[in-house]
Amino acid sequence: MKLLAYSKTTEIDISEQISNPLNRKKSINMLLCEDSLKKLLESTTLPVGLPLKLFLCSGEGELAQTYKFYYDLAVNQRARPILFQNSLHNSTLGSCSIAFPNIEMGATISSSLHSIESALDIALNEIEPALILIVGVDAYPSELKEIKEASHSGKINLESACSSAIFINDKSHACSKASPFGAIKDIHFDFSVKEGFENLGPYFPANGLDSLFEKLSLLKKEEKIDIFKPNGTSISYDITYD
Amino acid sequence: MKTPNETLITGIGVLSPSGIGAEALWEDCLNKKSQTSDGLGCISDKDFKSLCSLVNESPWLKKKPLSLERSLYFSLYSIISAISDAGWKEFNQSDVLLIGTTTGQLSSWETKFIDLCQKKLEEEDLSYLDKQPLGNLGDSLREALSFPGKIHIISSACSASTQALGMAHDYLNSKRSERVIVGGVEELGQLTIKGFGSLKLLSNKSCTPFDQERSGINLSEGSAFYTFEKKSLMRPHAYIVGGRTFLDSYHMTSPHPEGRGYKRSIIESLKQADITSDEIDLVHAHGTGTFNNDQAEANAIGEIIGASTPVISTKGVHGHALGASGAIELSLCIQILKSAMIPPITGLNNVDPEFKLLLPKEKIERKVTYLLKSTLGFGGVNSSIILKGVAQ
Repeated sequence: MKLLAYSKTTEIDISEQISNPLNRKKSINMLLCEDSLKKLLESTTLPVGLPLKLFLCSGEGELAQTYKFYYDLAVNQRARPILFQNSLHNSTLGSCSIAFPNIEMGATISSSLHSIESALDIALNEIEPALILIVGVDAYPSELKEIKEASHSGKINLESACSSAIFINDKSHACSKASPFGAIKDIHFDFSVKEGFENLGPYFPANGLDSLFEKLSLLKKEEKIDIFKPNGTSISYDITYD
Repeated sequence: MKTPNETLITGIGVLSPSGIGAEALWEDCLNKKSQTSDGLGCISDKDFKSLCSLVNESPWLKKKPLSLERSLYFSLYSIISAISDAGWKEFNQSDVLLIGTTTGQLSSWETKFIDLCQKKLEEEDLSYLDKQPLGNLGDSLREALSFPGKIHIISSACSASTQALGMAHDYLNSKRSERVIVGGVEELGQLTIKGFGSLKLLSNKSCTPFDQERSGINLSEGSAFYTFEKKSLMRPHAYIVGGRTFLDSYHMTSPHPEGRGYKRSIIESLKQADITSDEIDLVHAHGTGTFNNDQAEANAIGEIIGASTPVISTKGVHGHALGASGAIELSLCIQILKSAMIPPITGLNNVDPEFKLLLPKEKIERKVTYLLKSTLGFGGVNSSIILKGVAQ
């Protein structure tokens, strides 16, 4: 599976969309994903004839919408339907599918810090040629950011952001041959916790793409790429080159 | 004769409002015995206590969880049952565990979180919020079972576990794994009960799928896990021969009225299985009992499968277990294939006259070789899988 393009959007990038009243029914997760996907799809010429398959990944899910739903339930004794429908992890996928109707298949993956890697691992099983969209998003309402950082022993500075990437799994395709990046052949998960955290700066749980893109972009032709997660576990990618 | 694309279902573990095990659920479906009350299908306290004992006494449990968390124990029970049924002796590094769920370990944090909201987030010990991310369920299972392989959580709403079943089939077809444990788990909570209620989708009467007076969903809980393999010394329960998911790209909660994505999921699953729609002997539909779902399904099934193939829903017995529904209902599909008996649609009195389908109100004795199982989920996620019975 070869990387074709990558994009990242942070909450600052979508400040205009957030304040637009037309988007009042959309969550921050949805706006982040839509912006990141828009930038991603505009940054590359998609080959014609290959189906688009989307894996939408989130470590926390629609945290802000879930919090608002419960807060309203607790304080005002009412359950707001828009908050409930938006609180489900899959709502972000639903929103993206409506914004980008040419996406044919979709799945929502929520494996905490390994959400992106779970999606990549599942995507590697796709036998039929396809364009694989991997999107990782997490967003934190101000009320919960510190609490969530505390759950990581305060060693992560959490950010609200979305990273997305498009891969092609057909190595005979011209687009694949034109891509300068190595192809992911396999992924290995090591859940033994190594000593010490890497200080990753602003981070979000569904953020496996930034590090992967960074390493692939070095174009060092390394056959193995190791990436450490904030909890000390690690991911190892087997990479092949044309 | 088995063809290369067939995946063997070698082990089963099921927990539903009918009780512990697949047999309890099957009997209730044959006898039209609804296990929902006031619109909810719950795992009884007695059954929960029993399954906790079974889990805690199992040699598969390597580290006893600190507390009796419902969805964790639901999952442990079903996983241990499945791997024992399959005759596994130990886990392999290359094993994969796929879990379909919508709410994960909801009861472990929800009540305290609601209390917290009322206090405006002033609380010292917030460690229970660690249970809020769905991935925590995978971490808890890894620890409890000392599971060495990969664990992936699929949270595609009501299609989560059906989609996971298709993904498991892909893992084996791609040869990246030789064994997969796959299934789903769901527990009831305020989020889903109040949430679905706010969308006016619930009924406090027993669910009546495809009925002209159908009035909504009965929410329920439970779990079901299976072992999938490409080869086994054990006789398989059934085969998976196809599984595909397609999106409606239409609406956040309502299915496409003509079942656009649903039809594609059926068509592509048939292609993967290398069979035609004429070869499908039975459809086990999602059949939630809501106006929109049943209509969309009826339209799509009628167009692709036709009016002479029986179509059933069993949610009148066990309710709708959201992300776990596909997995729980798979157990009934397997029983149908084994027994040559099609259960009736519990709760169906008067078929909606708009539906030109064969919707049985009594059980039918009929051999079923190919069975289509489908689910539709919020966000427009439509997942179908095709099962094949084992030749006698």
